[in-house]
Amino acid sequence: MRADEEREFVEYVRVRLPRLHRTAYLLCSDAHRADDIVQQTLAALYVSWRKASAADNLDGFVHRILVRRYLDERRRGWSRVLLGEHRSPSASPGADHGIGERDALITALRALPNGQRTVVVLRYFDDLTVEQTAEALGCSTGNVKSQCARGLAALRGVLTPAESLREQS
Amino acid sequence: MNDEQDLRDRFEAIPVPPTRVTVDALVEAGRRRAFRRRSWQAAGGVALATGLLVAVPTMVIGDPAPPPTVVVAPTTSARPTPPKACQDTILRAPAGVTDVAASGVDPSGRYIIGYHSKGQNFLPLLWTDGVPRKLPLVAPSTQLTSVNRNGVVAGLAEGPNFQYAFRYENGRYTRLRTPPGMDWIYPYPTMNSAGDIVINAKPPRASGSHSGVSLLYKAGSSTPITLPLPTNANVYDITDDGTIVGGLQKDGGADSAYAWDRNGRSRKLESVPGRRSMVYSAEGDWATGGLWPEDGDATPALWDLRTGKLTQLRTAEGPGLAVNDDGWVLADNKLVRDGQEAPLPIPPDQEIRALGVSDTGLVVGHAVTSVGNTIVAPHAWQC
Repeated sequence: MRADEEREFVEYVRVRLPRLHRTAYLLCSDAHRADDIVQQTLAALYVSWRKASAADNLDGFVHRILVRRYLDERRRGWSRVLLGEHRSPSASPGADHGIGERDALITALRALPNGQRTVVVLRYFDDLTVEQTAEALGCSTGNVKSQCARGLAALRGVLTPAESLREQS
Repeated sequence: MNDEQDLRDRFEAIPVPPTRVTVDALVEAGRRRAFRRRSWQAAGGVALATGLLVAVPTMVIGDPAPPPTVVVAPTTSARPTPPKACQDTILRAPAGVTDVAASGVDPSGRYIIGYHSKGQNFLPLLWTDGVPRKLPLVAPSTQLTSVNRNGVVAGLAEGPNFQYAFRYENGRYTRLRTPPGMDWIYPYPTMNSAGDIVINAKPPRASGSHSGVSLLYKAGSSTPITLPLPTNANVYDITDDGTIVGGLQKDGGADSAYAWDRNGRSRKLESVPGRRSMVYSAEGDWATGGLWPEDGDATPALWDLRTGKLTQLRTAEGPGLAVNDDGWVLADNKLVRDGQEAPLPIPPDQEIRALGVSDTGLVVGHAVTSVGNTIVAPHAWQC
């Protein structure tokens, strides 16, 4: 990669890294796996930077790589080793309702089937459209819509108390 | 405020542990990947074109320096005897099925397990003597995780709000029961030639440090035997002589590699001071897994189960995930044979996901696009 191209890559990554890491963490629920997924995603991006940076939707392209890295980890079964060690932490609401609610949300998110969790994260954290989400996951827009509806319905029980609390305050 | 906007706000507020990834490290990793890709294409191109024996750049076994968390470009080393190249074959896919991957092989090399997918659900495939077959579904996601030399398969069934392990034998699925309240099984069932299966289980909502149990299902049985192991033990594989491998956990992560018999008699496997260790796979007299520094990524390890002796493999990163009875190890999608990386040929612009190795030297996996990580085709390499 030429020096000017590498500078462009560094500038892009410096801005996007925190959000990509948060996406990976929401998907896999493990800080170390999230690091690995992000590192592999952006290392792959480095190799194809010249081509990728010319794409119409670079962010969408990067999301596709990241999601497929996540799915690849899951397919290898390796992720289950770590998930087995770290998954399903019990919610531990404390005196701070905000922290308790956030714990409840991440616990509820982890409890979702993988398909629903991925769709919900891409749609409502990364703000991908239905079409972009379908492209990233390699499924139909109808599938995205139905997974999204089921995921939202499952999370509603966690969301509602927060709404109530806000209304009360 | 509606649910969707509320969810957006709440996602932003979730506390996420700080990342260890830095931009400088990413650039180093990218440079290294680009270097490897160029080197690999050069080496692989020769192998494909001429069938000659080739060596690709590798790190030297026995390198005394500890492996860095973020790697740098590998050094080349002159070798008097280059490793033999492996013969690549693309596995047939069932009619009308795309995005096919191979994920494991039995020790004889006759049976290969794999999948295609629907969304994120695994749809099971089984090759017998190279002939692919779609297996029936027992759950929306039916994932095959282990196959033995008799063609008996173990796997994971997953659906909305449930998961369980199964055995597939003579065209029938059998659900493997877990002790009451121990519904969360992890990581995935593995099996030996006799058909004995091991896995771990804990309550569904248990925390990472919650004590679980390790289970053994004797061949043909769906009722578990709870192994008399320490409460922080995790089992990952079972060999044909009944040796169960895995290790003890500490603070929710790997601590020390162990081998047990079904009565709980234990042998602590050799490690390196300051490193944590865990075994993930075993076959015959060999076991593989990883060694972890206190804060960093794993390096692959190979243990001789007869002696407990450890060999550190410097030719790959990450833990060893599969091994055969000659001590060949798959780690980091590479085959490490006699301490050297054996090249697995692959077309340009594709990468390998190598997931299983038989005692006959058959490596199975699939190729993905270098950019986008899309599955291209299932492969078998005869090495």
